Amino acid sequence: MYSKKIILLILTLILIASPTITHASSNYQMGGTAKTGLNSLFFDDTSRIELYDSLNLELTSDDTAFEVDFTHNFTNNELDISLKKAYFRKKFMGSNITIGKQPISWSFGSLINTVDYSLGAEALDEETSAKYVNGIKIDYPLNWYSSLSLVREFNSEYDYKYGFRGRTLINDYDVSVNWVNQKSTNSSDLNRWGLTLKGDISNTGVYGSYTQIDYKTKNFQINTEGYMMGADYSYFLNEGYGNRLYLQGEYHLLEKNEGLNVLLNSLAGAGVAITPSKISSQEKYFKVFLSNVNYNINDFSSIGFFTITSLEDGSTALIPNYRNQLTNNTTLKVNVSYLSGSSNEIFTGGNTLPGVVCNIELSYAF
Amino acid sequence: MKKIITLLILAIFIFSSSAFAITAEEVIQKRDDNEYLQSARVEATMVINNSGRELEKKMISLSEGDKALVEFTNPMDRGTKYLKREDNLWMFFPDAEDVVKLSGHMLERGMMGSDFSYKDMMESEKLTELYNFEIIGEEEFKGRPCYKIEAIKEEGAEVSYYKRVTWIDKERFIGLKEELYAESGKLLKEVIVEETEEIQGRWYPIVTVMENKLRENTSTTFIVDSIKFNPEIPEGTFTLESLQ
Repeated sequence: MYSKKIILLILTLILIASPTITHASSNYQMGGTAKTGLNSLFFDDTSRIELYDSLNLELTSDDTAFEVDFTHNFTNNELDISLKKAYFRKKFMGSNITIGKQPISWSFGSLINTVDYSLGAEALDEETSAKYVNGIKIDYPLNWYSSLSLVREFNSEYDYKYGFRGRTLINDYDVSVNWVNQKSTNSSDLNRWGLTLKGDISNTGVYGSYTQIDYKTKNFQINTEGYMMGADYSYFLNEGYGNRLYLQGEYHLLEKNEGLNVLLNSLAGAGVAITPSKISSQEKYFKVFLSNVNYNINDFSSIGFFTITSLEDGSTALIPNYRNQLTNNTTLKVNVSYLSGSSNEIFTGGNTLPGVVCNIELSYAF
Repeated sequence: MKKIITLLILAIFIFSSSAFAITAEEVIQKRDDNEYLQSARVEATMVINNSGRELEKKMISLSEGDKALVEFTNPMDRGTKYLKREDNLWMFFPDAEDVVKLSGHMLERGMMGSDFSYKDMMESEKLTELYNFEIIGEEEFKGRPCYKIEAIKEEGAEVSYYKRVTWIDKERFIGLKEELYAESGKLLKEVIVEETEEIQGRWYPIVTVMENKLRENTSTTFIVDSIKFNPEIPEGTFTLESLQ
């Protein structure tokens, strides 16, 4: 509550000062997004509707950023204030040092990213709060396309958490090596490292990753691994110059144990909940296939269809979505997720997990 | 009678030789001198029109040879940046503050929903390096006498359009209209220059309208709000680091 007051105070000062700031230096930019929406959740026996409003405000310059989200939930009449960015950046000996609350997202252009700094930070093209971390990031460019990044996070859940990323271009393939080491306050030690590759074969985009996870506690140690390969392709109607149909497919092979937690975290980030107990322990790997089809109806609107299928039992999460930019600043989004599996399958709803979630949101950028 | 025929042939010869006293390559070269940007800083507005609905995007672009950096500044897309080097395209997502390499096929896609593809917007090669040209006539366009030039892609060249037919102002050497064709002969896009301006001794298109002929009732207007030729571009501008 105390921190909320401080944020409100800082924000008020910024709002009061913003005309002065804008005049003093054109490098400062202020803007944000206002949203209103509703979530409909359908369980086996009941359903629920949640209404919300949110306001995002940001003030940025070349070397500072401040961004905060206010979300009002009408169902419980609660106001949630979330500080997303509050950092400054400084060049020092050829490197860029960023200190403060900042997004750390090692995006990988995939539907589920198992090699991200924070699991579930971005999934199914949607961002989550998991990617905003308190810490220090040092980026050191080696040349125009290669760089090294080091992250040290400060979080009460961990004794420490470090991340390292090296990135370069080899034969037009974007290659990165990621490593995350965290020691939780409960003394468990998690090491994740990953190798990613992204490029083109002819007109098709291809990408893949390998993840190695070592999980250690006082009593046991688990080593597990995961593989992913994906491809995307644009098909244009009318001899290749008309409306675009975008196709994307991804195959994940995740060793169970901690590998499964990686998947569960990533899916939770995407708003798709599954029950771990329904996953069979007979096979070594959990196999999942994801697809994404997106069609541009016209210059302003598109319709898309995500699917996530468990190759273990065939159950599927169907996630259709629609987006329409109504005016220069206003966008309407509709997202639905439907878990089609039966009661003993992985992708299924019930009395605690909703089988269908529908989100309708109207946003205004300024 | 023979004398008349001889005179006629002579007249046609004189007429034709005077009409094409300049070669197609020379016309294109003179046009490139005006329109080809070795390096530039451009502030522009893109208006996307579809069945009466309009969307406006604002951007600042820096280009140098085959490198280009574009940043969108309108509220909806503010902070979104693209870096193109050769045929590779990177995108900076302002929310995630991360850079993602886009798949090559995305270069063919309409930039930010417009009729201009990323390739159209960031094409860096001189057309003389990609096409074979021929003057196929002379016509007036919007009251300006023009050379009508046909360009067919050179064998092996990687281009978005197999054939281009361009109306180039005979006096100012600036393209006023262009038709872009598929190899099948189908008209794909039409570009009309609505407004030109002489800037630093060069004629340059200020308002350009592109119509995708395969889609109904759509067009994109590209307005140059300001342009600076050969600006000082700091070292390290076209890097993944500067994209962030």
